[in-house]
Amino acid sequence: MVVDLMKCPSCQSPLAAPAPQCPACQLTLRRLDLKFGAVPRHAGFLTDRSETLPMRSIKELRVLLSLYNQKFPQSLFSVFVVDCVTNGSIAEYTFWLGNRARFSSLSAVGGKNFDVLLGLDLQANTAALQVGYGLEKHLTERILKRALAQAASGFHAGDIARGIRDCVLFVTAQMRIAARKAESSE
Amino acid sequence: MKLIQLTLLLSILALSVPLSAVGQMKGLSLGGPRLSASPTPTSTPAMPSALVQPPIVHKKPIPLAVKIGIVAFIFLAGLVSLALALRAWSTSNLFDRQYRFPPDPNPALRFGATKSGGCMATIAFHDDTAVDVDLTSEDS
Repeated sequence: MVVDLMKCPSCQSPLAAPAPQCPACQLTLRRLDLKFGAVPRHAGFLTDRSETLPMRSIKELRVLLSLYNQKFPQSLFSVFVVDCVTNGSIAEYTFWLGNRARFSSLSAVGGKNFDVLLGLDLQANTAALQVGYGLEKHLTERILKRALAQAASGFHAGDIARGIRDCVLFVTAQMRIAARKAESSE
Repeated sequence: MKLIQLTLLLSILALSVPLSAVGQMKGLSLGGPRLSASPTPTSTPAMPSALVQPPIVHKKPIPLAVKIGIVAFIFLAGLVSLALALRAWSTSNLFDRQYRFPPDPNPALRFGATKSGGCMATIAFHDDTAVDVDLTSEDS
């Protein structure tokens, strides 16, 4: 199976896996703990700390994300919308949040983590889409980029909810394809 | 027109051949002389009187309560079978099937992170500029 060369979430420099820290910028998760501090509270499926999304859109998106979770019981798709990421980029914040916040069960670690996390920084107009270790071989960086490209029109038009929905639907379709491939290869 | 006539003629010929063969087997050839002698008529046996006048059987009408009971039973049986079919359909999860992935036994752990190693894509969607999505990198 083809696997992308991993990149550092902080400096984007490619690195040979496994790597305890980034050889270029020495990034570790502990360093990000010091940078971002306490882990923010997370509501079910979608957290809007910017308070820009209408309640109706939040409810609809939570239903959509719940359906995703029913279709892929191992995987939890979470969305975290912030007004501004202080002291860092959305890539760093999403990476840190995906590892420190409790989105799924405690046992979902290493190759058993199939979570997907979409982070949005509305002030910087940036977004990051990250997958757990278990999905790295199934949802490559290129697929994640395509998912964000699907969401781009909504984000660009200021319709964040539509962008999130388009992203979730694209990831759902790609996950279905990947799961079928995994089933057939077994 | 000639083609239709030719087709009709051919179909008649095609039908006449098996018919003549059957007729010869039964001694009823269409064109040729009859080889078999005509059968001698036999006397018709006297019909038994029981067949001529069958006894009139007066059937008892089914009581209304029994009819209602049968209908109710069929209706209930239909309902039960429908309920069972619905239950089987809902548990079979035909249209909303679940997908599962095999866990990766040897993930490449990075940065001391246990859940995700930062496999991600980023996007910038500024209002005044074009959406910046890099799709140039290949899966290699």
